[in-house]
Amino acid sequence: MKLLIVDDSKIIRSRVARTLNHPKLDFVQVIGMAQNGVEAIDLFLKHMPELVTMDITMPEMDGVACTEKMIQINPDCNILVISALSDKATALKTLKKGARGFLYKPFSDDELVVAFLELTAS
Amino acid sequence: MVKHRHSIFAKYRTIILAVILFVVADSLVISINFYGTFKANESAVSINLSGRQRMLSQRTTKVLLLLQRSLETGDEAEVARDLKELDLVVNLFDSTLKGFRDGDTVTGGDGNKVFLTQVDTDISRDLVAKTYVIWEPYLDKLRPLLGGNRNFSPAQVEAAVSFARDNNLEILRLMNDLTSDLELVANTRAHFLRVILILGVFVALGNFAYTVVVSIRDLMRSDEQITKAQEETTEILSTVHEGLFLLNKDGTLGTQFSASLPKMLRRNISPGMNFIAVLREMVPQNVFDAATDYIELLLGDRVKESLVTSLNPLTNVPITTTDQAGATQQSYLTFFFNRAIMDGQISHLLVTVQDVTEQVSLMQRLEQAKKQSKTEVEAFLRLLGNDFGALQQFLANVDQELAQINKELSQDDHRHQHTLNNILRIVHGIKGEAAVLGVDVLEAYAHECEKEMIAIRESGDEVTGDHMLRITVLLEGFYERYSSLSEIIARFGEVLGNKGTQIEQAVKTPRIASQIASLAQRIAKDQNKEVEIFCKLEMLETLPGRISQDLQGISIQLVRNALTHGIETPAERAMAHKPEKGKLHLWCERLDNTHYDFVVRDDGRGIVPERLRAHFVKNGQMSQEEAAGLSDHEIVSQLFLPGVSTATTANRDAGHGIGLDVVVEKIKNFNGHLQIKSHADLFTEFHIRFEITV
Repeated sequence: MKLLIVDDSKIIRSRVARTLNHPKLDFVQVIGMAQNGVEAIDLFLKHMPELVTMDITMPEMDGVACTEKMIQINPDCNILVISALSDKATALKTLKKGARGFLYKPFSDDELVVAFLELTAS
Repeated sequence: MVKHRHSIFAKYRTIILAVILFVVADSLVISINFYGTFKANESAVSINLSGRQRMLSQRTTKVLLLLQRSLETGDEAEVARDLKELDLVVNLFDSTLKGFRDGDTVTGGDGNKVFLTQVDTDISRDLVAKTYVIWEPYLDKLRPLLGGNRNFSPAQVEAAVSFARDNNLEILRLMNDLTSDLELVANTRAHFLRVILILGVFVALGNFAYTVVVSIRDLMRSDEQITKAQEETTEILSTVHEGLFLLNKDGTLGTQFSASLPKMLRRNISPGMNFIAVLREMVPQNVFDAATDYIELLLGDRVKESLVTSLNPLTNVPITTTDQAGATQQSYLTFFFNRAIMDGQISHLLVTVQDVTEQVSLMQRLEQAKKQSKTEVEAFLRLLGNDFGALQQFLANVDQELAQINKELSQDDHRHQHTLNNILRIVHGIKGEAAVLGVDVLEAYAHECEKEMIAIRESGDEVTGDHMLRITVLLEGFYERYSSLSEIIARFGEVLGNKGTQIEQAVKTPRIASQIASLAQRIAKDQNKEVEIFCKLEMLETLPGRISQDLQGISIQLVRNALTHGIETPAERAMAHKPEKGKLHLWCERLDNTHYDFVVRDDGRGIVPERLRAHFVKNGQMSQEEAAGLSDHEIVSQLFLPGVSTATTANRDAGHGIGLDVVVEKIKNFNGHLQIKSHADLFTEFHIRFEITV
């Protein structure tokens, strides 16, 4: 499965990518990383990933709008929102736009692995 | 997720088996019946035709006799008719008999062709064979008369008639017997068919009965199970601690919910009630909006249930209720939502409501404890920030003071009131010094003791031995705290290599000024006042330890008083056209070889006899007349009596009416002379003059 990582923090991006070394996640390949919504949409159109991890607060285009766009392009894609947002309402809004799950920052490796497995389980 | 699965086959197995059995048995009965009917039809043809054979045998004889007579009369027309009938009757008999023997199509009674089956019993076959024994010679005799032949002789006719006469009865009997046997066969078949039909009916009835019994049993069992399940559900719902209910997709409550639910939600709940509306009344708008979003997401199938639980907005929801007495009570609820899946579809949400008041309060307490420990650590750090020698000196003083209290208590000669005042003064002194050095533990405890003793003094009751006992207990507490503190300081002393030999020098460090300044700032902050402090106390460090210590105690008390009573709040000062920041001066100076001045002066509201009078009257400390009867000097002197205060509220800094009496006590220690100068709204100055002779 192809994964696109969307986050404006380089640390978080590489952190997510690092977790994918987990043996249980060997079916996931990172096809790109974007630091804002606009970049994310470009990469999304180019690679059509099945999986996306999505930050909410980002420059250019935020996670809410980006999620909405991606779902318009491919309603079947699995988007996991990863955010430090303490405002539950905005997170819920992103889910209403079509994201499938939510993970709080900071997260442990195990939490991220479990989230990925849950997300990709049919 | 909660799942429900049904196996249709298991549930309806009995009925399905019964239907299969019914179809099989009925098909069998119908087939047999059909076969039987067919056979009965055959039998009817056989019986009918064997009956006809009887009749034909007799008619053959009769036609032969008629033919003979017609020949005798010579009536040729009659002869021709008789021959024609003979031809018909004989052929019919012959072909029918042949049919009985071999099975063949013959002309029926109505002239139509019917199939005659071969006889199939031994008796019938024997009868047919016997008939042929007669019929074949008979037919030989008849043959010359058949086929429209008119060239036969009268002898041939006579031979036929004669044969007929001899055998007529035998043929009749044989045909009769055949008919009887065929009827017997038919009856046997009919009987068999009846038996089969009756059996069929019994099988059908049995099947029906079995189905009914099994169905009823299953129904009863399933009813029993349902009843049991319902009872169990009811029991669970009535005993379970949590609030449990099913939330329908339209936001209404399911038919069943736990008994604790209405209690938890603190409102009446009925099946089918709109939960969303209930929620709207319970939580603020933003929480409500988030909650409806969350519920909507869970009812949809897009999000993964386990990946959104952290977003549940209905955790630790505060519920405030007012009881009949009007007291409000705060509790906290958390709502957990789980999808209920039926046939692969989300049918409901199972909602679990938990009272988390305990957890929330524990969390709050934990938070409090964290803060508390942070404060304690800070206090400890402040303690360590002190001059070490000063701390040792302080502890030595406390030791002395506690010994003094002990002495007061042991010498208490029933002048309890007096003893109490003395002890109060000492405790108050410890409090002041502890505050200066930042020894919060002792300061706080001294404050508690002080409060308790003041309560005794102000209760208006006579101070008794019981009260003294209580004070002894309080003193114990002091000793405990003092001991642990001493231990800590001693340990630090060891670590720092300070053996406590420099006590005298320690007292004389310039830190006194900064300690007093920081105490003043702290009090000012507590009182929401602003103050600038000017200290010139280096002189204290050259004075003998005892006097220096007393003066420090006096400074603490007067600084307290100045900030509590003297200096006004910034707002009050602004109104009085004074700078918002008050000024506090402390100085100690040498006048000549032996005389010294120690002064504490603030630029506050001053000590105004008129205001004091009004205050004492208002507080009920004296009547209007008493107040008016006292001179200004006498009124101000009241301030130096134990238990007098002018602050409106008591706190740890002032207001308990202990203070100036302590000051006076201390001044007496070194034979000092106190003078108070003051001007309304301008200043107050405590001026102490004392003499030190070598």
